Amino acid sequence: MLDSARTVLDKAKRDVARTSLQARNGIKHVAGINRMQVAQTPKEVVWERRKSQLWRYKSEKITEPVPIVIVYSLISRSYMFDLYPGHSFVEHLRNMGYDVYLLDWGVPDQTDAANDLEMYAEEHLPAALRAAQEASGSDSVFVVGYCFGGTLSLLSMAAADLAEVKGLILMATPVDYHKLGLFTEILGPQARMNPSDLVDGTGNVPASASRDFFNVLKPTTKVAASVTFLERMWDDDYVKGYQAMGQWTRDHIPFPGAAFRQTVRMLFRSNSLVNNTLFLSGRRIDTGRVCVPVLIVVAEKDHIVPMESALPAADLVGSKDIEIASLPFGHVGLVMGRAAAKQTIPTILDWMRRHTVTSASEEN
Amino acid sequence: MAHQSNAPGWPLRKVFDVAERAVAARVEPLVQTGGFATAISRYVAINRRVGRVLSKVTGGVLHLVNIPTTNDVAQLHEHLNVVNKQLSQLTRELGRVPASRQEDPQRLGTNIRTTPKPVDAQPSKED
Repeated sequence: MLDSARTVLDKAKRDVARTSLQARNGIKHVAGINRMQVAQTPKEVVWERRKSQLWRYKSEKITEPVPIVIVYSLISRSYMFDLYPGHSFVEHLRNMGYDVYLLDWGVPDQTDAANDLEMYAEEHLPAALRAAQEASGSDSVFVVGYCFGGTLSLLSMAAADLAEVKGLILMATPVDYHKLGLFTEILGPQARMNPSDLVDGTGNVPASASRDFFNVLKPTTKVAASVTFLERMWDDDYVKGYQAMGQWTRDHIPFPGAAFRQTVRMLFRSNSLVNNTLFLSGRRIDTGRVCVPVLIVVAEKDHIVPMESALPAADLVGSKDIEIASLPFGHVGLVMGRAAAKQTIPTILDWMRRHTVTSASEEN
Repeated sequence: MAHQSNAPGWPLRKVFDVAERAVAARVEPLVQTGGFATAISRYVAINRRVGRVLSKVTGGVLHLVNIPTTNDVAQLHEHLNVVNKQLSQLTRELGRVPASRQEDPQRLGTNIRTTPKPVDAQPSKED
């Protein structure tokens, strides 16, 4: 009897405490006070061209011989890899002794409307990889391409002789553009939408268009997330994560018009990566030339890049050393949050270490 | 989408989760259909056409009083972008020329500047 009275009292105390925390955090959230600051890991710019920049994350304990260059997509902000302390992909890699670089493409404006895939894949990416190699003093680098950044990495490696790449990691990277669900229906071979209709007065696809398309794929997600937020508003850590994630999901950037038109024409309409009919700068791009070890990381619950769009990468590259890691996450969960720290990063680290050891022993 | 929590939570949370799952299960496949894609494409196309008409009208009014419109600025940017693109292509092509050939600019058939860069030129950010 006494025990159950104590339990009720404890529960009441906890509920009162949580309600007051909920009120405090709710006021802070609405007033915009104490918002979580993103991208806090200290970094420096080691290379830049036009708006593209290569960032090196500062570290005093680099123990791994081969640096990592993360290549990000063109349509959203790269701080998804450095959300906030304790929940940062690059911070985890850095703490494991890696020299970590991230290639950020910048925010395109009118002056970038003519930026094409050639500029990103044949100019900026190879130059950034060479810059990372020089800055690190290493012979080679691991390239981690995420989403469309993976596609660009693949194109870049197929187009140029990038001897400095030791291994390629493709994370949630679309290669079969006829398996991208709604995007394929709209931009694919049926040509329901004229790409020019999406391009605004700046010559680019506005950030709001990308945001709306992603939101419409999971129409109830926003409501469910808001309800969960209201329920867990007493939890300071949860509020931090919600605010940082919320900021990122709203924070898309324009897609350069020329690159977008090429993407629609070559990838969505002709599916030219899979059909091996892709041309850049008038030359045919043969992904079979990619002979370095490749790790393909796919997310089983990915609603943006389904597994069937990402897996054909294994058939496209010429490498004999291909591994596939299938992880039980969504597109974003693959690199953000606790799940990424517990599974994605260890999977990548294990692969990189095995391939660093292999090549070191081959050299001996 | 439903959130699993061991916290006491709201009494109505389970009801919400059931409803949300039911709605998501019906709506998510719907947005992947050709019909939905057609509807979105038409909406975007109509929106675009209306926007063009409106900007033409406002542009006409602004031109009457000699004020440039965003379209004029966009056209200028377009010209600049074309020049930029040509420069990029030239840079790429030069990058592919073997070093031995680059030593002799006359053999490339292009007029490569061999005199020092003018002092009033903007410093390049490129490495």
